[in-house]
Amino acid sequence: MESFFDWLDDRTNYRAARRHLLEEPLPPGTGWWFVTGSILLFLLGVQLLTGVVLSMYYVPSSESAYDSVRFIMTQVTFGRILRGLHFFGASFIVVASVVHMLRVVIFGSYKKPREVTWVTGVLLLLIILGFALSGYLLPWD
Amino acid sequence: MTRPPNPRRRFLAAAVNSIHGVIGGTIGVLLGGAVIGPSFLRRRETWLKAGSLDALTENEPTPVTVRVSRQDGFTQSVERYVVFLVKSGDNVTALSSTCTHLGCRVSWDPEAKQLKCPCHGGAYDPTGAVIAGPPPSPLATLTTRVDGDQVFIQA
Repeated sequence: MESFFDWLDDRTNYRAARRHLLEEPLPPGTGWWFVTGSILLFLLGVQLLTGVVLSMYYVPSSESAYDSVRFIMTQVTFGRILRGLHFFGASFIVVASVVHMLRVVIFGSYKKPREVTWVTGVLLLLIILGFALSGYLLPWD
Repeated sequence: MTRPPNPRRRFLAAAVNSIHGVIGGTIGVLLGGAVIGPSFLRRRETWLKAGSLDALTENEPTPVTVRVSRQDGFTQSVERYVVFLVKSGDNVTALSSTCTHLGCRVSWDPEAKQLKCPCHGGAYDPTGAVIAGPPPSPLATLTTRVDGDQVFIQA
């Protein structure tokens, strides 16, 4: 198996790409508080993937929205679980983003040279809140 | 120069990768199941009651209206179709009433003993074969089943 990954790495250099993307040198004392950003990224990924699949069955009209959600819950394979993941993920992502913002404030991570990152984060929080509100209305129940 | 990873670090990396694998695999199965699940649904065989055998006259198409309930996603619709039942001996044939030329509805002319299309003069015999006009093919037939006195059509 290792020889296969060596062969793949010779041709794609994927190990270097993985190192660049995932291996971040962290200062001593870095604890669990620094995983809140990764949790947010993970939740965002889950919301995107489950949202794309749910949108294949959801009908965005006031006449059919509720019926299509009921169809997802009762007829679609794993539909109930997928909607559950999307529904609870939406709540978790709001909680996680607030926790992440608090962590950034408490640890002073918004200071120079991360001011732009902080402003971007605040804008993303507003977008997440907007999505949470509009998504909450989608079942039209 | 990079240090060789110690066993503890290797174990943690393997544990984290395993957790990622389990989460990714679970989400992949859930998403894949929802996307390709409909491809594996079996269509149920539906038989619709079309009429009584006693009401049919030998070799004379008798129009009957059947109601077909269709489920498409979350929408359910009921469509009505007119079919002609033709009894010949013990067999009953069901012919579609839709002309194969441009889709007008044909009707039985008892004097001419033909199924005639009012739009472009197409004519069919009681077996559904074309005998006049522009229709390119015979009337479509539907699968029938006789159970006791009742005639059923497969939807």
